[in-house]
Amino acid sequence: MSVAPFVEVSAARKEYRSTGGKILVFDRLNFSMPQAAFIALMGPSGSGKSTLLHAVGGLERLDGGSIRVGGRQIAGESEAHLSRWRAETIGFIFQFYNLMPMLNAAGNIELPLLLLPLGPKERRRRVEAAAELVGISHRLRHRPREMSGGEQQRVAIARAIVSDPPLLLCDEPTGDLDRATSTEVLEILRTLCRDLRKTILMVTHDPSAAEFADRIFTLDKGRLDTAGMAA
Amino acid sequence: MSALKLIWHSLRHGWLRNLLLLLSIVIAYALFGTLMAFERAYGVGASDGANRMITANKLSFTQLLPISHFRDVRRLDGVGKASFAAWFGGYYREPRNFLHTLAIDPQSYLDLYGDDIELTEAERQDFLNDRGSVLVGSSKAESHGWRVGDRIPLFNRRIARRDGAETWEFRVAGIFKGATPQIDTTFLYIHYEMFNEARAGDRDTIGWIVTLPAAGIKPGQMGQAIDRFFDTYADRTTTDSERSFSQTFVAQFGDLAQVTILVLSAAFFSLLVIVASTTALAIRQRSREIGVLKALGYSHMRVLVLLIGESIALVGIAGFAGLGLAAVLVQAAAPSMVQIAPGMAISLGIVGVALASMMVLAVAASALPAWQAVRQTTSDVLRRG
Repeated sequence: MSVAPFVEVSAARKEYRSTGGKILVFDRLNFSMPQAAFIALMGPSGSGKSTLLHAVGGLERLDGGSIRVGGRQIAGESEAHLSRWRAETIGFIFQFYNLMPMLNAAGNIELPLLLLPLGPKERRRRVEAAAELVGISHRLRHRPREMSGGEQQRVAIARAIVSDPPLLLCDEPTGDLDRATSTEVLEILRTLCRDLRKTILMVTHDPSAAEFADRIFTLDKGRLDTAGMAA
Repeated sequence: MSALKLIWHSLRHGWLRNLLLLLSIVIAYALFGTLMAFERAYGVGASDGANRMITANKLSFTQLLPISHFRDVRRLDGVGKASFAAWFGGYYREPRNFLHTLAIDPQSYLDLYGDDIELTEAERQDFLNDRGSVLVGSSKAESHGWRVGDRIPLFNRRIARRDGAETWEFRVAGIFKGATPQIDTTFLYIHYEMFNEARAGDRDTIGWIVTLPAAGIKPGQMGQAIDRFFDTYADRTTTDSERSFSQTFVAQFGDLAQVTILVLSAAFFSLLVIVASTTALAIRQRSREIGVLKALGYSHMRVLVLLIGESIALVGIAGFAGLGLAAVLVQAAAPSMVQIAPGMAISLGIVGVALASMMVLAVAASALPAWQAVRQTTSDVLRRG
């Protein structure tokens, strides 16, 4: 008996319009991910990795094809519905952390919870739990500018998981970190996948980062090679 | 952390920019409140009273009229009530303590202005019965520390006494308050009869005549009849509403209300441009933050509410601080403005207009840049690095 994929991309097509005409990013692209899979998406710059990641997260609309996440078809959904779905289903982690500079770590982690019907006590409990999980509890009262890159990325991961979304989308999460810190962050991601059954799609240029994933997909010239296995 | 707290943190983040913006809005609303208070007090004035009409010398209101004009007016058809006043002026102790003293016919004058002033019956009777007494407005009594029963010497170098003295002494028979804040309480009233007998020159002349039309007669109609009656006299008259009359002497400065509105409009438009451009720049600089919020699941509407909410909070805080400053300025300026704009104050009406303008300003300045910001493709914003 086969297990239904958690993420399923079918015949996806994306093109950009520029002054020089249309630029095709990818076409008829298919792939699927089971729940609790950790997949690295690699490929040269401009190959459309981030575009595909954002499309799965509902931030980018496709020009053709469909995307199902957790059995829900997201193509054609309204902006308001997509926002609500994203708040419940997706956790984003970015290369440059993208923390709110005016908020401390706790405030940043709490941001997604403001969209959910939770009281202040429950929000505080969840913030502390997420911070504990990524080992940043001691920095909750600090602002982003008072933290190192690694600490900021831990805060960003805590923010991504605080509302307990099943899918984490990571765009070069270690691109701005040194080797040792990258390893710590990737270990956290792997733990989230194995222990908490988070499904993770991670865009990376770094082959050593990709090795933390279960499988490696390569996107190049509009074609996706899904045969790659991590070492 | 609530959405309000998020707005508060955002305002604190760009504190220098927001502080400067806040200061400009504070100044603008201090100006707005002060000028509005002036414009309203000037527009309403102390002499809004009923249908009262003033008849003065046609050459100029500073030219005198013979008292026989008053007797003639009182007998004219269409005139219901009539009284008169003559300017006395004078000062207390020093010339800088200039006084607005009118010599009046007590009975008829209080009959015409009785609704405007608050005075006890005992004080009223005391004033009517004593020709050497004076009625004093409460603000003037307060500023000089006068009480009922005090004897006050007034000096007048312009109007000589027959006995050669410069001092006119009066007993304070009563201290009146205004029935509304707009009523001027800086005036003093003395008996015309005593004044006329004591002065050396200009005897049997008065400054102006005050009238109320008889039932069924329009004030304008009565005024025309009065002026027509004196058309062949050496001292011809002009009759106008009391409100116009009281504003005549300030009209030499131009239409103050019009100027006030122009200044207000210019200040408000400048403010709108400043706030709009600063807000647009601030929102543009935060496009990445906006992109992150959208990626976290914040809808367009929610982000719009946050951005416009920030603008409303900033303009609201600064606007009310400005109005507070205006209230202080108005309170300080009110005593010296009482002749032009009596009862100048930051009224609830002004607060209401200011509140509405704050909302318009905040939304107009932030809605378009906020809408443009949320409509940007999130992935483009996040990819800029």
